Amino acid sequence: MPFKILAFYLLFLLVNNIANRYFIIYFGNNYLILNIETFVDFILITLIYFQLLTEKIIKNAMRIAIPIILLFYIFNSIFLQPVSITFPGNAMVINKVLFIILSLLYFKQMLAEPLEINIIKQGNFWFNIAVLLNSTTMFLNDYLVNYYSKNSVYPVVHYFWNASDMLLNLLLGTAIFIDSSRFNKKLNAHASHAK
Amino acid sequence: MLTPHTPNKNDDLSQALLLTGILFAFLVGCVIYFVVLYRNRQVKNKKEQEEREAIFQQELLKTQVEIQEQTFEQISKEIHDNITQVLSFVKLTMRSLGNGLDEANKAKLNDSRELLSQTIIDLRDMSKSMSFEHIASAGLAKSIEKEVERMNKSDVIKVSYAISGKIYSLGEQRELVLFRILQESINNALKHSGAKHFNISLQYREDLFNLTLKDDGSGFTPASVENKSGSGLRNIENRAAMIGGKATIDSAPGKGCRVCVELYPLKQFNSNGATHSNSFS
Repeated sequence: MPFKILAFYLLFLLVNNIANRYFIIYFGNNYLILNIETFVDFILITLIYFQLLTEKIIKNAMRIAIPIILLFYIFNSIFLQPVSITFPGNAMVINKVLFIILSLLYFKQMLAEPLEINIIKQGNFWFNIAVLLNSTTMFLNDYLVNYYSKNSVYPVVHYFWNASDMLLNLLLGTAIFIDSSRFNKKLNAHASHAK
Repeated sequence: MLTPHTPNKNDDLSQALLLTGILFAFLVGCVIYFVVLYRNRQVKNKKEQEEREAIFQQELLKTQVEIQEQTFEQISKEIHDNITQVLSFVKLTMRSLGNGLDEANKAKLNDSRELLSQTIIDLRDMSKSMSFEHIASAGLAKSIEKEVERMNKSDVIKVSYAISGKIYSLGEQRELVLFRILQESINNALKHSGAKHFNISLQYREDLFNLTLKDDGSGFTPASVENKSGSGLRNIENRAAMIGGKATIDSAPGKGCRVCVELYPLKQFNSNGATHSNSFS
């Protein structure tokens, strides 16, 4: 199930990137697209982690935190960083911090319950690596996006941003490819058993 | 004259690239460390799982042996306290009945009484060979001797028995298990191989005890019995392992079967109990 969401997420990223170009060319900015992307990122990635993480305390914490954060995002996109004027920097930073925490928690869970399958052949591992690498490297960049935009500073780090995005897509693709292969039948059986 | 250094775009670029490089290298390092750590955990878990499985198998075998011993004990008591008593009463009654009979019928009755006496003796011997208490009190060598007598009396198979070295106690549990291995081997020889001769050899050395059982039956190839999980041969191997010994089974078609159990008497055997207890638990 988590990897069906992930496949949908990759499809969304593809459409989102195309729309991004279109918005920049025709409207001069991609604020709206970034806002949508931040919302969808948050919902899908947390949903995947909600299914992957098995500890009850974490699940309960997520049940409480997700609606609160969602409400804040709505508030932020209306009052603090309006959709049509600015990048959703606050939401992006919260997303990245949350993803880093979730990926670290999942690494901890993986260590506590190691499977017999080689870790390289576990789709979950690649997904988690993708989220951790992307969130940590993009964290600072996301925060400075508004600053770059306002001061018209040529954002050197944007190159890195693109590279990081590509790496994310590549790792997520690897995760889906591995998950769909025969190696992960055992892993999925284990995950459903844990639930 | 020194001029103050003013940061330019190239400096920013190199700083950004350097920081990014350091961050990325750190993250990759963390991932590699995680993979190594995960691998170690996998190995450790596998070892623990194997240990747990071995302990479980040992416990399972111990339970099976315990249940079997309890059953044997009950049957033994039933034979000794009930069946042989009833038969003795029948024998006494038959003696009193003989007084009013003519000579021909009296002779027939006496033959029947003798058969009955033999049956009572056989049943008592069987009861003893099944009873843990009898085996424990008589010791392994003596118990085997009785069993040999019993088997030879039956005329089904010719059993020979030899002891070398000075007899010493191996502990009640070990001796009982060895005795059951012997019974299992005789049973296999009778049931499956059609053996006519069976040799039992006990070798008592200071550092090594050896029980060798040989028959001249049809024999078998190891592969033919490997897949039979309930096989008596596997039971023999498991039981020997349970008391800290090692059973070696050699056989080939037409060459009979040889079972050799080796034990190191000075080695502490780890069966959750002392060697002088009536229970395996």
